[in-house]
Amino acid sequence: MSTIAIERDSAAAGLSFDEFTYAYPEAATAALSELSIEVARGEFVLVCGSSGSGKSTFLRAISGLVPHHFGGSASGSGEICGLDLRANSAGELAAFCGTLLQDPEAQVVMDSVRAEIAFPLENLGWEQSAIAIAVEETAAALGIEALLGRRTDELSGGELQRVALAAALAARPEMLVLDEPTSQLDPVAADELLSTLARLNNDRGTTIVLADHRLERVLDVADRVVMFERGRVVIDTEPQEFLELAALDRERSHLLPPLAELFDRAGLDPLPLNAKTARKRLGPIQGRVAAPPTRPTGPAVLDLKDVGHSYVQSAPVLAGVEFDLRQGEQAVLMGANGSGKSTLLRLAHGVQTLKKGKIERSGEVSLLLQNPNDYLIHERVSEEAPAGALARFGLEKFGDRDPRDLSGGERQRLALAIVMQSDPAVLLLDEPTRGMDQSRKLELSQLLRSIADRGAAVLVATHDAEFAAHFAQRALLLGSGSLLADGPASEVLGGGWHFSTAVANLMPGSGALTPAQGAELL
Amino acid sequence: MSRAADTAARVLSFGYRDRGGPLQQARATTVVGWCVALGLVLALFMNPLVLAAVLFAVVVMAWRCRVIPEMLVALAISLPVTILIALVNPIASQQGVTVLVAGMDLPVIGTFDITQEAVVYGLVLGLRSAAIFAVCALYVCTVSPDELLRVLRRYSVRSAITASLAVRFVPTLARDGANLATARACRPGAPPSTGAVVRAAFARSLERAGDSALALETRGFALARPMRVGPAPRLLADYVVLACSIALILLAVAGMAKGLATFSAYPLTEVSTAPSDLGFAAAIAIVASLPVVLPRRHTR
Repeated sequence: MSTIAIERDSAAAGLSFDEFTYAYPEAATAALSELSIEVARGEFVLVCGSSGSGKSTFLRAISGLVPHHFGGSASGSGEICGLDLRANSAGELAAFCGTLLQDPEAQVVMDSVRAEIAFPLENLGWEQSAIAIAVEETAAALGIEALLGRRTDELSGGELQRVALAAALAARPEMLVLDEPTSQLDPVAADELLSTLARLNNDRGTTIVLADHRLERVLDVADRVVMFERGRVVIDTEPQEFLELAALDRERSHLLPPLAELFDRAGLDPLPLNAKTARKRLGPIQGRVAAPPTRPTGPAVLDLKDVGHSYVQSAPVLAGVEFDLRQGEQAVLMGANGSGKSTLLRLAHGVQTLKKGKIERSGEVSLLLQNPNDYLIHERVSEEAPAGALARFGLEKFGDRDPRDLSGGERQRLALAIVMQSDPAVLLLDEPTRGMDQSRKLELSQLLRSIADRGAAVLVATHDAEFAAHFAQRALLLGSGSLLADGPASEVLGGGWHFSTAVANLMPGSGALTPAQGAELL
Repeated sequence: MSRAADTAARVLSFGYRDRGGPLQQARATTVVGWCVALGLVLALFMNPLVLAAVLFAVVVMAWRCRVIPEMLVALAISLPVTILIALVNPIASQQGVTVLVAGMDLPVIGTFDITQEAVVYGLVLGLRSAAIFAVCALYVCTVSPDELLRVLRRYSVRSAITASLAVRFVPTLARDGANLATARACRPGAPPSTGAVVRAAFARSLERAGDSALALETRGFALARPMRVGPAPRLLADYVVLACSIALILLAVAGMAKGLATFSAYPLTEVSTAPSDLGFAAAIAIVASLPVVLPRRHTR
């Protein structure tokens, strides 16, 4: 129904790059080097690689943002949905290729949901009647009809992400490009989004190119895995073969999803792509891992009693929350988006005024908020925190650099150095693993353990059950503002549905949460 | 709630809300016309009776449109400007014959008198400033930016989208500012200087602008052409609000021509308060508030 005519080769492949090299403006090295790849129409491609490997630049190139929006230098050729990448702008490519970025808040431009979904169609020159039909149909397809009359600034992160997906899909694009679309979502919302994508791919033949760090969620539905390292494609194969390759290479073994890692550690073959295959292969599991360590016996350093909170004109966010944290304790706070985790951490720190209940603190409490960028105030790293704190987090060599030039992981460590200038009795972290790759998460887990070993109680609010299993001794589950569960991580993370690990789901009742624990049983 | 979060929550509450009131039912362009009519009255008259009549109409309409909390936020934002105007005029203006304080001496400014007329004129200017803020606030709370964008893009797509984005940025930047303030409060030791925080906030707003530009690119903004929008069906609210706007403009022009509700600040304050002036002010208030008779539309 587009009234803007764009000439293209409609029989061409979904996308193809030939010797495509791209460097950002003023960058010393190319972000993509001699990229040659072809994706057929209707394929579901999972793109992976560590941060800075070039996968986001690859996705930007597919959307036409690179080189048109970002500038820089490009050589070689690229064709997206039959359109020459260099001759057609991002806007022209948008007619055939929808794009969903990582941060839902950053990609919503209109005031109401209906207007947001209609916006790309209006840009493409669709007739009003066709726009109205397409908006309704797209909303129905994604199950967001109830949101159509809502304002975009009232929506949760999960809802916003689905609205952004609807805006990307409304023009019925042949291809959909998604850059870590689940990184800001809780497990329930992430599962919903991924099943929607699988349905689009299966039912409508939409070509999907998706980058995600949590491979275990996507491998099962992907046709192909493309892995980037230093701007080059180093693996391009089917998911099953990808698992075998990752298992063979010790440096890439962190890429193995939990169930594949479990099989690899236990010496079982072939590595499973999903839980169903793994369950068939293993059969009933006998035995139980050793009892988890009991809580530390030290004194409580943070004690919450009957804590409640509500914002103006809304239902209570928290009600009757009670727990304490002891010296050296490693705990996680889990719950869906909007369950009150962030509010609870802010109240525990004291940055948010307590209205109901009582909180006792023995010593200093430090809080790391969700976005490390919020801490970056100065123009040089050395001005942000004392040299000792920078050295403790391995940042002393960046002293003269602008904090905003650091990578995501380095910014996270800098924010930690800022809030941990002294040795606090309690360290609270709000979703510190968002957008982190697996190796970074393991690094963070070790870092937090070392902080706990020095006597600080560490409480991490997270959606990431796998991270929680690696780090925590104790897990607290928050739902609708109340504490639903509080116990050893092996019990809380082992008995749930969405808030449990893949190994716990595979081996229920065994107490095993991580691949290492599971392999021990096998 | 921390002060930062509290401030953010208040600012975030400021914006368009469809609560089924008379103005929210009418077309965006019609409501813009009503606001322009009120603005014309404020431009033509300085008489406090007329200014009070406009404020009365705005408050009644805000009550009927259920945007009183948002209007209170606007009032809080406008208050410093209003007070500043009221305070500066007696110092800046040396007109008027009734000297209240003679020979005041301030550094830089030097020696000056404060006259009763300058004080009164300052207060009237402050009242007019508050009335202008109130009309603008009612516009923001009752005119859907999306609907207005759809109308404006018939003529200039890019300008319309830029204006729409600018409105949408207010709550986003307020949220970013609150997050920065909360992070600042979480830092141990001495807090960073205000200058550094302002610089960081500015950098953040540039990042936001970059993000939005990216989102616009991926939504095909570059292709956008002025579009033809079919007319939406006219509702009773459109007719009533439009009729009130026209009546208001005619009334204001007629009042001006007849020399009603005059105000003179200097050399002596003269406020005409004859029955005809009172009647004129009452007529302004009644005509401007007439859309309150419309039944409220059900909203979720």
